[in-house]
Amino acid sequence: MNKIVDVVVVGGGVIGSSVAYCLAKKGVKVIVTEKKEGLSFGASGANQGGCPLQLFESPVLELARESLKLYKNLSEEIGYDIEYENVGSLVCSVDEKQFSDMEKHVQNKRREGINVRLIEGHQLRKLEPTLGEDIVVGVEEWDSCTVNPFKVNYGFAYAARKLGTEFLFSSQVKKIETDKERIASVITDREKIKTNFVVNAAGVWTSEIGDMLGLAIPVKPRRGQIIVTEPVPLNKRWRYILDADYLTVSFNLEAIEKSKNPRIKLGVAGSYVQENTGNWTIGSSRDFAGYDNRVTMQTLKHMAKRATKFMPKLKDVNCVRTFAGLRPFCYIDGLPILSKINNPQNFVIATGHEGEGITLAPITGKLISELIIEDRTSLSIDAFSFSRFGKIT
Amino acid sequence: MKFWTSKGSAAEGIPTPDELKKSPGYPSLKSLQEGPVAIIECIEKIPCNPCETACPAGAIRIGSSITNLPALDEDKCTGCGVCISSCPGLAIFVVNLNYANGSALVSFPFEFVPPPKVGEEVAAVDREGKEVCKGKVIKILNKRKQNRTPVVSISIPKKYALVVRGISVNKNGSSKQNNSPKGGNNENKMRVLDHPILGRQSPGKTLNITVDGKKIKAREGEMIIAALLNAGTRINRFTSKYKEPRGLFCGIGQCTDCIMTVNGIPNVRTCVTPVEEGMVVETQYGRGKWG
Amino acid sequence: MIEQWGKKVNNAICRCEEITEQEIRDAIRKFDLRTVDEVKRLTRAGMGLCQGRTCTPLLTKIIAEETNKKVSELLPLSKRPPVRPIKIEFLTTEE
Repeated sequence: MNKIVDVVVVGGGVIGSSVAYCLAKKGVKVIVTEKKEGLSFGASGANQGGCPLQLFESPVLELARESLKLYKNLSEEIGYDIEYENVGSLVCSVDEKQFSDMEKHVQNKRREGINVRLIEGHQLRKLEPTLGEDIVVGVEEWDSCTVNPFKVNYGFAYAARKLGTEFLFSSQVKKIETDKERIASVITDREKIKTNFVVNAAGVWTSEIGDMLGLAIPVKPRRGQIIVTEPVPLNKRWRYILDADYLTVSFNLEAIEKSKNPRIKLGVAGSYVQENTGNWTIGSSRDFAGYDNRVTMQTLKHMAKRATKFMPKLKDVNCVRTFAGLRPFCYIDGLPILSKINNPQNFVIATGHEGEGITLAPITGKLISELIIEDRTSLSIDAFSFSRFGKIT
Repeated sequence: MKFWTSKGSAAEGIPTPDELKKSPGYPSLKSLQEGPVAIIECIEKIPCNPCETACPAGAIRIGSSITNLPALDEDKCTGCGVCISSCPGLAIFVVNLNYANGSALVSFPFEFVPPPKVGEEVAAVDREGKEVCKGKVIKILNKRKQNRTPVVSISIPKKYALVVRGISVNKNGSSKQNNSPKGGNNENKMRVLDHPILGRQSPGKTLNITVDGKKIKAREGEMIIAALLNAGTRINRFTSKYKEPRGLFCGIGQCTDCIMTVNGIPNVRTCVTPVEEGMVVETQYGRGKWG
Repeated sequence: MIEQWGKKVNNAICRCEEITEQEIRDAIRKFDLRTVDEVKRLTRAGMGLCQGRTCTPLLTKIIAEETNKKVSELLPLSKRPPVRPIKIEFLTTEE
C-alpha cells in the first residue's frame, strides 16, 4: 500500500502521540507507525504516571515546568479526561546522613523558583500517619502531579485522529529510503509511505531506526520494575512519595558502580504513587538487562523491603501484580535527545526521556512540532541536540 | 393503551401483539369470549411438540413436521390448562374472560420459589416483565400432572387479560433477605454429610467463629464460606462503586467475589481460607479498612 | 448481532472493578482498541483483585465481535507474577 504524508512519526507511545497531535493541530498530515497492535506497549505503558517537579534539574527543568502547565488544561483541550491530579510530591529520607543533602536540595529548588518546604520526621508522621518511624525528614512540593499514562497516550491519539492523523498498527519500519540528503520514504511491513519528515519516537528501539540511516543514536534500554498492590484507603496528604536516594545516587551512574550496597547496585530507590482507586504502585528500579522486560525476584525483594521502611503498613497489603518496563536512556549524558540532524536533513529525534517521558510528553510534542514547522522552538533545546555527541563509536 | 416497547421476538425475544395474533395457536376473539380457552403464544419454528401430546382433548396439533407452530382447535379446547405445564418455553396460557363481572382469570406457568399464596395480592406483569395492574391469586395447581411446573391463576381486571402473562417476584430478593447468620441450631442445613462418592463425612472438631458480631459454629478443616453458607449468610460484601451485594461465585479462589475482612485484614478470600478458632469475620464494605 | 446485545449492556463484565459492557464497547469504538491489554488499560477491566481471571474470556469475545476478528486471533491478557495475591512481606523475604 502506498501513502503520501507530510510527517511519519515512528512509535505510538506518549511521545509519538503527543508529537502527532501537536502537528495535526497545525494542519499537518501525519501517519504514526506502531509496530505493535496497539499503543503504549513500550515505556509509556509501564510507568507510574508520576510527574515529580522537584526532581528535575536544569536543563530539563525548564521543559518540565512548561510541560506541567500544559498538563493542567490538557483534559479539556483534547476532550478526554486524563485523570490529572495535583497530588504534589514528598521526597523523604530514612538516613540521617542525607539530612544535609535534603537541606541543600531545598536551597537549590528555591533558587530555581520551585516552592519547597522541609518538614521534620515527627511532623511528617503527624500529617501522614502511614509514614514509617524511620523517616527522618521530608521535602514537600505542590506543583507535581500524577496522570493516567494510558489515558494521556490514547487521549493524544484520539485527538490526533479527530484531526486527520492516521495510526498504523503492526507496522514496523523496515527500511528508510533516502534521496541525496533527505529521506524520501519509509517502508514498513505493509506500507510504503512517501514523506517530508520522519520523527523518531521509537523509545528503546530508537537505535534500530538510526541504524537504517547509518546513524548511531546512543539510547539503550534501562529496565524498571513495579509492584502493584490491592486498593487501600487513600493517604491523607501525600500520595506521591519518593526516596531521597533520588537526590544522591539514583541518577549517578558512577556512584551506583562504586557502591557495595546490593540495593543501590540494582538501582532500587523508593517511588510510591497511590492511584485514585487506592492501589499503590511501588517502584522503582534501574538496571541494564538489554531488552528483557521480565521482573526479577532480587529486585522485587529490595523494592519491597525499601517500601516497608517508608510505609510499614504495606507489609500486610497484598501485591496483585508485578511488571517491568524499559526506559529509553541516553547513555552518554542521560539527557533526552530532541533534535534535527545534519544528514538526512528531514529526520528528527525525540527520545531518550528515560524516566521522564510522561512528564515531558506535552512539551516534547509542542517543541518538536515547532521544530518541524517553524524550524525554531519556543524553549531552547540546544542542550538536547544530537550534535553534542560528536563522533560516537 | 400502549404497552409494547418490544421490537418483536426476533430482536428481543418478546413477541408483539401482531406477531401473536398471526400464530395458529392464538384463538379467535369469539372463542375467547365464550369461556376459558388456551392461548399458545408460540412463534418460533423449532423442533418441539410436547403440547400436542399433553392435550387430553386433542385440541393441539403440530402435524407431520415437528417444527410447525402448534395450531389450536378452538372447538375441542376445554380450557383445562394441562398444556400449560407441558410447554418447555412457558409459552402456553389459559385465559377466561368470563371469570367474574369485570375480571378475567389468567393462568400461567410459575417456576420461581417461593410460590405465592392463594388469596395473596400480587403485581401482574406483561410479557416484558413490567407491572400492569394488581391481581389476586385464586388458585395454584401443582399436582403430578403439572410435572413440577406449577400453574398459578390470578384474577385481574378484564381489560388486561390479553396483556398480563405473569406476576412479579417480590422485589426484596436476596439483598434484603435475612443475611444475618443463624447460630448453632441449623447445624448442618447445607452441609453434605453423606456424599454419593466421598462417603460419610465424619464430624471433625467444632470451632467457634464470629461473623458480624454473631457467634456461629464451624467444623475444623472447612473453609470460612462453608460455615457462612450453612448459617444462612449469602452476602459476603458490598462493592465499592455500585454498592452491590456479592456472595460466592467461583468458589475456587479466583474471582475474589467472596472476600471479607478476617481478623482485621481485608480482601481475604473466604472460599479458600480455612476456619480457625476465634476468627473474626466481617462483611466487607468496598475496599475495607487497612489492617 | 450487536443490536441483539443492545438491551443487555448494563451487565458488569469486570466484577472486581464493576465495569459494564456498555463502557467497554464505548471504549473499543471510541479509541479503535484491538487487544485485551488495551481494553484493560483504558477501562480498568482486568485491573482488579482477580487480575482478569473472571472477565478475560468475556473481554476477548466482545473485542472479537467489535473488531470482526476471531477469538483465536486475539492475544490473551498478559499474565504477570504473582499467580495469586501475596503479602508484600513475603516479597521482602523471598530468596
